[in-house]
Amino acid sequence: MLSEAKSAPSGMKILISGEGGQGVQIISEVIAKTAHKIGKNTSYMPQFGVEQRGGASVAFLQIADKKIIYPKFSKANIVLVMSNRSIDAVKQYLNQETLFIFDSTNIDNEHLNQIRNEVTKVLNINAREWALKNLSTKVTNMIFLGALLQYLPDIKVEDIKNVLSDKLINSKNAELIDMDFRAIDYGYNIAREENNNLNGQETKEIENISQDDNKTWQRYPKFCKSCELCIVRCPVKALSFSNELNYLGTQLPQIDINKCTACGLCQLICPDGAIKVTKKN
Amino acid sequence: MIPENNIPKSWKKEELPHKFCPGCGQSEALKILGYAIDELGIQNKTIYASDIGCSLLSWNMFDVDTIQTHHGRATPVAVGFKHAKPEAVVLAFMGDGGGYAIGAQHLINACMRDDKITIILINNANYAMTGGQMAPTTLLEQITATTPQGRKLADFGLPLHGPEMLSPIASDNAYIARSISNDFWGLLTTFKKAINNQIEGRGFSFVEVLSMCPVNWKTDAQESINFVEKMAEIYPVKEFKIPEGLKC
Repeated sequence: MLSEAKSAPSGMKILISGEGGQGVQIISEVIAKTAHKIGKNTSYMPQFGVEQRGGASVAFLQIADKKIIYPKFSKANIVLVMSNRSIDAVKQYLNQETLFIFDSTNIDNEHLNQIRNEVTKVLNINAREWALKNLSTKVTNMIFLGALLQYLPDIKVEDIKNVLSDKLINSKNAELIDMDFRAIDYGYNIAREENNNLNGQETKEIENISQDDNKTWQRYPKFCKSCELCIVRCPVKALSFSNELNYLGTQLPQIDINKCTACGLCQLICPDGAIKVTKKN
Repeated sequence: MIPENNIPKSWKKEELPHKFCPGCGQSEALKILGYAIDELGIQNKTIYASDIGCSLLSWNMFDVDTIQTHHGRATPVAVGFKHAKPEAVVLAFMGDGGGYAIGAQHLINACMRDDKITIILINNANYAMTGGQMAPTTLLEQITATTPQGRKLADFGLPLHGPEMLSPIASDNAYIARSISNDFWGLLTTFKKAINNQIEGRGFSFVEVLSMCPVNWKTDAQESINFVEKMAEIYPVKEFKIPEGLKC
């Protein structure tokens, strides 16, 4: 399976998709620049929604020895998805030959069911949880970049790292380059072991996080955007960030139920309606 | 008394999560507007007109009839709808760019004509959707994408105070107020008064809401709250005009 993907006759057609802000365009740009540097013909075209923040962000990437006639394509050799909503954006580019790469800790089964009959080759990597545990969720996209390199035999990991450090040379956060490199290495190594497991998460709409005799505190992981307003404004400082992640890949709040007075301020001020506090009599 | 539902009944639950950025003050204000619509029981006769800018991201937020209009034209479209169907409750939702810059003439004329509509204007001190450029409401010395040295009095004049501008030309039937998105109960009462003024057929209603924009201000949650409180010192939060006999 790996070798088939490597020996695609008319070059590699790669489609990368995620939420705006997850780093889809950065990894596509780095791959395209590196491929150009080593003398390949390459084309990279970003596509995102009209005049609007958020929403699905898609990158069309092609690498070939022959001339590339048109920057778009109808079917991709590799499809990489980083979020639930981006599955809708890539559905039409899948066929039986496509390698489908996704993060099992981030994608819901509900969304995977839409494409279950259309894909046969699957690479399931655990990027987000590893990034949160070992580095930072900011470098999740670099794990995917490392995984992609396993399927682009002409591009060496060192070349990618050189292009990336040129790009980040003026970055204020010097640790970021080191974290990015570690994430790329991790992604490259785990992509060696393929698995055909198209199973994601079963997320519930509402999570019953904490309760005692007098009160229940519930949260909606599908709505929360980790804006931190509830944590900052809680009058008794009962809220803090947990290690669980929401649909954007950022941290969900959790409550210390012993401190909570069930005043309901967090429910009132949450801009997304992601918290529910119930007081029992 | 905490509302029973964490999401207003007049919101479209299937469209959540909505499209606003994390920590956006507009989504807080729209949630409170949803509760105001719920409490007044006007969901089936409300017409919601939204402007261009971040305010258009609310086009699928409410389960009410919605009109999407052009830059600054939410006010005249809302006025036209009110003339055609006087029993409807018409809400025009816009940002400071739509209301105080490109659509300022419509706002002033609607106020002078005493049109019986409710205008809700979000003031976040910049043009948020296009990347945080200077708006009429940008504070002096505030750094934005187009004022990297800060807004200077000599070049751009003073920030625009909308309710203060409208109060002298408004009739005695107008309700004009400024509120803040962080204050749940205060803003809920203000919205209910502004909508009631229209339902009772009295006159023009205008609410300016001071709101947070953490993405373009480049602030975290605590700094955003501090910034919007600093705004409230410059833009006083109060009711400028209250018609006699208005129900709360």
